[in-house]
Amino acid sequence: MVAPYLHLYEEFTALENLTLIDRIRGSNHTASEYEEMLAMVSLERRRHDVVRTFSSGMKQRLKYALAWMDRPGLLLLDEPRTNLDPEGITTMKTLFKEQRGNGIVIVATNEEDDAVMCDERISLSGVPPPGAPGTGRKGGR
Amino acid sequence: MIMKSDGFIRITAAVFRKDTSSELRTRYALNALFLFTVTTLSIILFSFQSATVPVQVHAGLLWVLIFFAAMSGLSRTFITEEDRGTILLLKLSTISTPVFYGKLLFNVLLLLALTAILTILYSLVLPGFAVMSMTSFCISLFLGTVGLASASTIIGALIAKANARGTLYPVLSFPIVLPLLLTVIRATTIAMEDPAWDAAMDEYRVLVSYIVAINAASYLVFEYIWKD
Amino acid sequence: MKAFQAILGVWLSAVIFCALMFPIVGEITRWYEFPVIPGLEQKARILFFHVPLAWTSVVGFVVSVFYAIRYLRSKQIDDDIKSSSAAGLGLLFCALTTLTGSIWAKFSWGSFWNWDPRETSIFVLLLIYGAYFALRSAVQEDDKKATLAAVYAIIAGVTMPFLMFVMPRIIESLHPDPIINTRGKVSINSTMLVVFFSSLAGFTALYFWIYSLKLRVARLEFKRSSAGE
Repeated sequence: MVAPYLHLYEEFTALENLTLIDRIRGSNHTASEYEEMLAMVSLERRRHDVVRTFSSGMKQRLKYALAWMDRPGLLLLDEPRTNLDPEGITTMKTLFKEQRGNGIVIVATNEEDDAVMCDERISLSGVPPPGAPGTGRKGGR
Repeated sequence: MIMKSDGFIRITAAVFRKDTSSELRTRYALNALFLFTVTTLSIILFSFQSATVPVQVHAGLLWVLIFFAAMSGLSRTFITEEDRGTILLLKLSTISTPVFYGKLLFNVLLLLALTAILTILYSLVLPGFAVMSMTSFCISLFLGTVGLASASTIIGALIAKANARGTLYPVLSFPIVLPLLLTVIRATTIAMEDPAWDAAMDEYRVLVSYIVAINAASYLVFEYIWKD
Repeated sequence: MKAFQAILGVWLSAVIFCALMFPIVGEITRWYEFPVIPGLEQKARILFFHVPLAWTSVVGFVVSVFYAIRYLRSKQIDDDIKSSSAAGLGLLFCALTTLTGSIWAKFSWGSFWNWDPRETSIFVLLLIYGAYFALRSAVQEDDKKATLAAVYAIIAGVTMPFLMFVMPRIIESLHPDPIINTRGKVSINSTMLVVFFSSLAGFTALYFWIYSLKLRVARLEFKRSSAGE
C-alpha cells in the first residue's frame, strides 16, 4: 500500500527501512535485490541516508519501493501522484503497468490523469465518470 | 494469516531488532533512564548522608527506583509507533502477536540492563547495603524485572491509544504490579538477610506464576488492542 | 419487582436488627445469643457488615470482568455498559468496605491503617477501580474506550487473585481469619453463621438491585448521548 498517511521510520536509512520491514513481513531478500528496488525508484545513491533527510518526493518513491518489494497480489494506491516530480510519476506509471500484469491495483484519487490508467472506474461523487457506470471507488485491473 | 512457528520467531526477532536498532540510534529511552537513575540516586544519597539504613528499607527503595525507571522508559516502544504514525506500516506487514513479543523482549532486556546498572550503582553508593545470598538476590532481581517488564509492556500498549499518557501509565500500572512488587521486595529482603539460596522459594513460586499469568493474559488480549 | 424490593427491604432490616441487637454473652442459653469471641466482643458485629461489603465489591469486579470478556468477543456496546456499571457500583461498595474496615481497625488494633495483606488487597481493588475510570475518561471514542477498558479489566482480573488469595497465605495477617477459622474448619457459632450468611445474601441482592437500576439509567444516557450526535 502507498498512501500519504503511511509513515516510514525516519531514523533509519532507505536501505534499512527496506531491510527491516521486509524481515518483519517474514521475507528475506538479498542485498542486491534491495539495491535493485532502490535503483528502480532512483534512490540507490541515497540508500545510506536517513529518511529524515529525504524530500517528500523521495519518501513517496521509497514507499513505492517498499510496496513493490514483495510483488504483491493486491496493490492499494491512495493519491499515487502525491509529492512526485515528473520523473517520479514516470516511475510510478511503470510500476503500475507491471502490477497490472501480475495482480490487482486499486487506486483512490481525484486526478483524472490517474483515473485514465484504470480499466474500471467507480465514482464516489455521484457524477458518473465518462464511459463507465457505477458507484464506489476508481479501480483498475 | 497462518504462520509457521519458525516464521513467527523470525518475525518476532525482526521486530526486536528494529526496536533495538532504533533505540541505539535515537537513545530516547536510554537517555531518560540514565538521567532518572543519576537524579534519584543523588537525591537519596543526599537524604541519607551517613545514616545506616535497615535492610528492608534498602530492598524497598531499590524496587521503588526500578519501578519508576520502568515507568519512565518502557512505554516508548508503543508510544513512538503511535505518535509517528508508523503503526500502520507494522499493521500492514504482519499480525499482532510477533509485534507484541518483539517489543516485550525489547522491554525485558532494557529493564534487565537498567536493573543491573541501577543495583550496582545503588550498592556502591549507599551505605549499609549488604547481601547475604548473592544467588538468591540475583534470582529475585531477575524474576522481579521480567514480571515488571511484562506488566509494563501490556499496559504501555494500552495507554499508547489513550490521551494523557504520562500520568495514566503509573496510575494503571501500579495496581497491576503491586502484588509483584510486594512479593519481590520480600524476596530481595530475604536474600539480603538469609544466606540460603532457596530461603525465598515461596516468593519465587509466586513470582513465576505471576509472570506466567500476566504473559498469558497479554497474549490473549493484545490482539484486541492492536485491532484498534 | 415491587415485591422483590419489599422483601429485600424487610430482609435487610431483619439482618441489621439481628446483627446489632442480639446480645453477646459468655454462656449461650438462648438461640438468639452470640458467643463472645476473645479479642472482638462487641466489635464482632461489624463482621455482618464489613465482610459482605468486601464480598460484594469483589463480586462487582468479577461481573465487570465477565462483561468485559463478553464485550471483546461480541463488540456490542451494551456489554460495555454492563461492564462499566458493575464497576461503578463495585467502586462504591469498595469504598464502603475500606471505610468500615478502617473503623474496625481503629477499634481492634488501634490505628486506622496497617498494611495488613487483606487491607492492602482491598486498597488495591480501590486503585484498580480508580484506574479503570481514569482510563475510560482518557479516551473519546466509545468503541475504543470500551475496548481499552475491557482489556484493562481483564489484566487487573488476572492479577487480583494474587493479592486476594496468595499473599494472605504467605504473610501473617492481622485479620481475624485464624481466630474464627481455627483448624481450617468454620467453628463459628451457628446463630452467627445464619445471620452472617443472611447478611451476605442480603447485600448481594442489594448490589444486584442497585445494579439493575444503574443499568437502566446508563442505557438511557447512552441512547440520549448517541442520539444527540
